[in-house]
Amino acid sequence: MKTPPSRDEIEISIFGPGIGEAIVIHVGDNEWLIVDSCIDRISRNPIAIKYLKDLNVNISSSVKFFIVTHWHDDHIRGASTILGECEGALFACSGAIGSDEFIQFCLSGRGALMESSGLEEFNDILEILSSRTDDGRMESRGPQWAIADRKLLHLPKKGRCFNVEVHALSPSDAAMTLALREIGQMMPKAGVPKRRVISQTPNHAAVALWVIIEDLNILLGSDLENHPPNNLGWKAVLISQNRPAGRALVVKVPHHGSSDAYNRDMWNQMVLSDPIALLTPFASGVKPLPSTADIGRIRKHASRIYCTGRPSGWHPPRRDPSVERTIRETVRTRRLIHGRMGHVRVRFKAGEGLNNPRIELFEQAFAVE
Amino acid sequence: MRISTEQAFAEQVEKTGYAFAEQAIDKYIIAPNINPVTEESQEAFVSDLARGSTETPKIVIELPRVLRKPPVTAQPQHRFRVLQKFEGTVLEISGQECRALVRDLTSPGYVEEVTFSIEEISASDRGLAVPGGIFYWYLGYDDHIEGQRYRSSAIIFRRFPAWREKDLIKAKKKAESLIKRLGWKREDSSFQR
Repeated sequence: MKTPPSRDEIEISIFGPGIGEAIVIHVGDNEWLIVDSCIDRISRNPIAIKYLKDLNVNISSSVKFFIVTHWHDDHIRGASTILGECEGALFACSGAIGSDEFIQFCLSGRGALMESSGLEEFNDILEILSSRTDDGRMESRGPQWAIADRKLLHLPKKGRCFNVEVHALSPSDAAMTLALREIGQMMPKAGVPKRRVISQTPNHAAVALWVIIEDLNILLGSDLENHPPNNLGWKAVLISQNRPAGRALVVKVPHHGSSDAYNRDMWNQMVLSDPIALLTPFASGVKPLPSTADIGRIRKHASRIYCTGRPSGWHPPRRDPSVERTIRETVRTRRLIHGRMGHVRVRFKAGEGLNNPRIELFEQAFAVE
Repeated sequence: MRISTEQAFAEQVEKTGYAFAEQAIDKYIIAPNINPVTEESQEAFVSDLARGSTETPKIVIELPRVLRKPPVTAQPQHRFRVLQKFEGTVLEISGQECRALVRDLTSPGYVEEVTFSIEEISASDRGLAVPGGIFYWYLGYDDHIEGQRYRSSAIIFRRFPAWREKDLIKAKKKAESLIKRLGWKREDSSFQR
């Protein structure tokens, strides 16, 4: 697990502990991208940082790009720590949260006990960005606002093993308008008691990404969902004339494989016929994801499906028997949502072609049969 | 026999219990007059205490500025022995059911999602059970004064103050200043670098 990829090896690593996910990509030449963040419960560090340190990567100079695809708790935990450590990385986040309303929303929550961990992280991110305003490097100030059809990163092949590009496929203009309206509705109002922010709205503002590493296309679906209007979610991505051409061999299945995020055309038009599908579970919510039905739906498009863990079945710590008995008498349902970290690693060696990936599963990760 | 006020109080606690003795002695503590303590006044005080009188005393005596009340020993009390504590956040109220995330405060690091009947929430707290509402959930033993022990679960909601207009104006000003400092410019609905 601790063997770093060679200079001409591409790696896609996906981590998920039950709630939250993070993706780490080696684009060649010891240069790395990080997408989203979650915390390793044992080390209490962002898993991306822990993993790269385990590989002896110089994080401050080797991580070139870090994006938070949306501000929900399960994608942003530990993001400020990553930003703080990755001093050379271009930071990007959804254009929908690049609004004065959202910044005001974050700052209102500071110290007011209304914070979710997502807002708390974003506050810390703002502080880091603010502290970098005097260092003269525009890229350290960021963020690069991700909106549909915008190229977020280009590392040209000159002197490198591969040409690397990262494109945002979402959010669409309509999604940004909608997200701003939702933020407006969540804004605190005078006279209303303070409470924690619970965001249960659809993930309109999530950034789906298209990553090109030479001949390899990777589709990272984030939590982007599928909605009836053509100008939102996957439908907006599909009708766009400006998204990058080609089909993806590796897919991070959107929104943990949920039916809300399924779009058949996405699979038929943007993904190769036998892709490598990567999944993370989501153990919170009314229904843990992915369900058996979700897997069955994905199975129609992909025979190689790998998941970082199962969405349930973890055990809480051993507690006093009388406590356990009282809990059982009080609650109707109960589920531990934060299990052990799982890790799926896909590596492609230059010269061996894209047909011979090396797929490794660590900890709780498993191949879906 | 000469007796100090502390001793008198301690004896009275023995005879009538702490609360009753305290009620009697408070009458003296609030008396503003300062007279030299005499044997006569002490005796009057002690006898007053013994009767448990709450009438205005005829003789006012000087008491120490701080009266050290003796500790109460072996007094049976109703108490709740906490074995497990969670901090919860309400995610959803659906009909008669509450869905919440509970964070283990006894063994930190574990988060569970639970559903329970809103009947578990006391009537006075039910108005606070809205998405985003924060509560503590205590589990343990309820030891009653009569000696019985019951297993117990108590869900207690936190009461937060309301947002004030000035907090919101302050946040808005801070946001504007931060955006200016970061050099972000607004174009359409997002900032552009």
